[in-house]
Amino acid sequence: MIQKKICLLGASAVGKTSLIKQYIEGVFSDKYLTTLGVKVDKKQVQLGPREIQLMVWDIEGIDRYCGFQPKYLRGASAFIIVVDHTRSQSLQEGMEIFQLAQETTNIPAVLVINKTDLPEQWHWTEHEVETRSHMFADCFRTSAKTGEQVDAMFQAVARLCMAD
Amino acid sequence: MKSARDLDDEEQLRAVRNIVLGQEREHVLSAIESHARDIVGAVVVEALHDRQKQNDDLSTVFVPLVEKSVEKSVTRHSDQFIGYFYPVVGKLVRKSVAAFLSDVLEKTNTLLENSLSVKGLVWRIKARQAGVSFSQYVAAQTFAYQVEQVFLIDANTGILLNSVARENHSHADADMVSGMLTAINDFVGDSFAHTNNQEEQQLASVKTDDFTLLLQRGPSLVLVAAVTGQAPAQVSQHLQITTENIHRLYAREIEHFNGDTSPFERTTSELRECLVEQLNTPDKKRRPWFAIIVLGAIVLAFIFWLYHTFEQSQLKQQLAMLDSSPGILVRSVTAEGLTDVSLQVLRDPDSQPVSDWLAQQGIRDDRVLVEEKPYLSLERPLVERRIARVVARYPAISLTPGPAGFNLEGQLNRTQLQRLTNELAAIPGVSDAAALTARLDLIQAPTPDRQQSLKAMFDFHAAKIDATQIEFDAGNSDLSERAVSRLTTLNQQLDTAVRLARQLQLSVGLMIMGASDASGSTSFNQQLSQARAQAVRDFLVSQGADPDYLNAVGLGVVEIDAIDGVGARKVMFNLMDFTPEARKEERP
Ligand SMILES: Nc1nc2c(ncn2[C@@H]2O[C@H](COP(=O)(O)OP(=O)(O)OP(=O)(O)O)[C@@H](O)[C@H]2O)c(=O)[nH]1
Ligand SMILES: [Mg+2]
Repeated sequence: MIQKKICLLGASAVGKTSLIKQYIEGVFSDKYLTTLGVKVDKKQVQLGPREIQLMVWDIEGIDRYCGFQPKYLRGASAFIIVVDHTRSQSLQEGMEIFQLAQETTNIPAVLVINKTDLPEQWHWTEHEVETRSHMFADCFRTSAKTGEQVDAMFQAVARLCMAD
Repeated sequence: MKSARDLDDEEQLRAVRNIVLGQEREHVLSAIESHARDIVGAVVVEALHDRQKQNDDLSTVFVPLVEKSVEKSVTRHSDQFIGYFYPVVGKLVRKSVAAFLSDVLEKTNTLLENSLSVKGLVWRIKARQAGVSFSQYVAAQTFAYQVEQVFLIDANTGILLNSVARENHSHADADMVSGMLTAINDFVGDSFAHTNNQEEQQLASVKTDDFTLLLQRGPSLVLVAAVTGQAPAQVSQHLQITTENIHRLYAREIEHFNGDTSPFERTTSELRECLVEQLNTPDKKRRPWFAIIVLGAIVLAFIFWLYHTFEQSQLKQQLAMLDSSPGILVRSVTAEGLTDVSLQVLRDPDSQPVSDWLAQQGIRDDRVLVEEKPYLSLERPLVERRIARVVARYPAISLTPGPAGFNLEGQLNRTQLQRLTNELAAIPGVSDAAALTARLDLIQAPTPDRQQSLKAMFDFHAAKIDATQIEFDAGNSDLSERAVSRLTTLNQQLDTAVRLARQLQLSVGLMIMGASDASGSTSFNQQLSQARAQAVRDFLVSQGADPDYLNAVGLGVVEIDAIDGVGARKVMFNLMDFTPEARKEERP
């Protein structure tokens, strides 16, 4: 059995935990319970003929109180930067985390713009978002609430893990 | 290029401006200056607001200014700021560590719990009964320690490469636990890293009430053992050796690890070797002989005591039965020492002696200390016994069993009956003496006439007897033929006289007096007279006379004015009436 480690990074409350919960358990909750440290989950993914097991590391929101811990990325095959399109700042912070991560690793990364069920509420232009997303291996617009694009996103990440 | 005319105009304008505004605009400036504070103060907030609405330029100008000043303030007063933040940050760190650990521990615990089969279930129940935590129980009851499960983890990814558990119960969550453990390890490394110590901090063990996780970290692998009980240092050493071995043996696989855990399945045998345990064999203590002997002695003494107590109580019960024996009242039966019994009784002197009763019951009297006090029993058997004793003095009556116990039967004269009745009435417990004697036959006392004639007949015979004399030859005590025939007649007369005397209730006796003549010495004569009386007595006895009535006396020489004046060689008789005068007066 092939196992791959992936990490979800991003500012607080962008919906990292919610995305994983939606992906693994298929449920969503409006309650906000901030993640402390790391929570590891797993999910079997079918990639064509072979099945792999994703070890999904849900890392606590990175903000000015809680710095980025590059160690959590050790051994990961891919990582996901989650941003929230109802908060301008989240993209800014997401990009900063992305840059920090790239200093320690060159594994592929995916940009996830979450909460698409809510109206867009940031001042970034489509073009600004576009240019930033090009720096990633892939970009998804998801909703942890409706489940939109969640499976597709993780499936893509799994594929990225097996790319090398 | 400006023309001369233009220059001229400019000159003129400046001149006018100088007049109106003053040199260097001093008129206007002075006018504005005096109101500047008021004017700006009134609009500054609104103005900033409006300006910010237009675009972000204002923040662009302000942010660096603010940041600069904050930075300056923090560097200048860093101690103060640390003071402000410390409680908040410290709390945050502690909280996150706790949350972090509790999650992984909870998972590991369920993992362990599930991996313990039926035996585990039994232990679990027992642990609950004992009120201790399950693994404490396991540790205490069975093992000094036991490695329940071993995880081989890739240090980088936290991916579980292999794991083995006791009883082959691998758990689905094991790989998540391993990821979390790695995360914790990373977290610990970061959070508690010492600034001046370059070496990374490593988590060595995680202890909970239920188990201990021992972590052994190699360059690329982490070996984790979940241990119940008190793990000794050897377990860690064992883990370390195993880690080193695996690193050496699987160097290539580790180097090319890409998430494929299958090459590490072969580590199972190495990991299984880490599932060490130490049975909690209670050290064999020397047998506490002294205690055993003392205990044995106590038990024996107890049995001995029990036996004797039983026997004693049996004896006491037996003795209590003495109470039912007539004329005996048992006052108390108490244990005396371990084996003996003290018995206190009231006993009627007429009743069976206690020692007899004990002998009858087969009780050894040395075991019974009898303390006896006399009393008078009115129980029937005792009363009967007393009556019997009185009746025994009356040969003419007998006791016969009858409907009311017994009857008195026989014959008595009035006087005797009266006496008997009085004696019976004096017996305690006899309430109606008259009823007892009711069936006795009363012998009619002789009438005065008959009495007199009897007396006359008695006197007649007595006279005849008194008149009889037996002669002997000189110096001789042999009975002659004549003497024998006379004595035969006398014997008949005596017999009649005695019978008459009995009827007359007289006490009589026959004096047989021997005498001799004066020839010969006095002592010889004395002896001779005695011998003659004795010879007569002997003869009468031989003829059937009652010896009780016969008294032979030697009188010696008796001078009688008889023929020859030589005294008497004879034996004389006197029938005497010994009846006391009182009895004679009683007689009607
Ligand atoms: N409407 C909507 N709400 C969302 C979505 N994803 C997350 N949320 C909500 O956003 C809040 C934060 O979600 P989390 O998943 O806890 O955020 P997080 O990134 O894990 O936060 P930290 O663990 O604190 O870093 C929760 O109240 C969620 O219900 C979404 O797609 N749509
Ligand atoms: Mg979270």
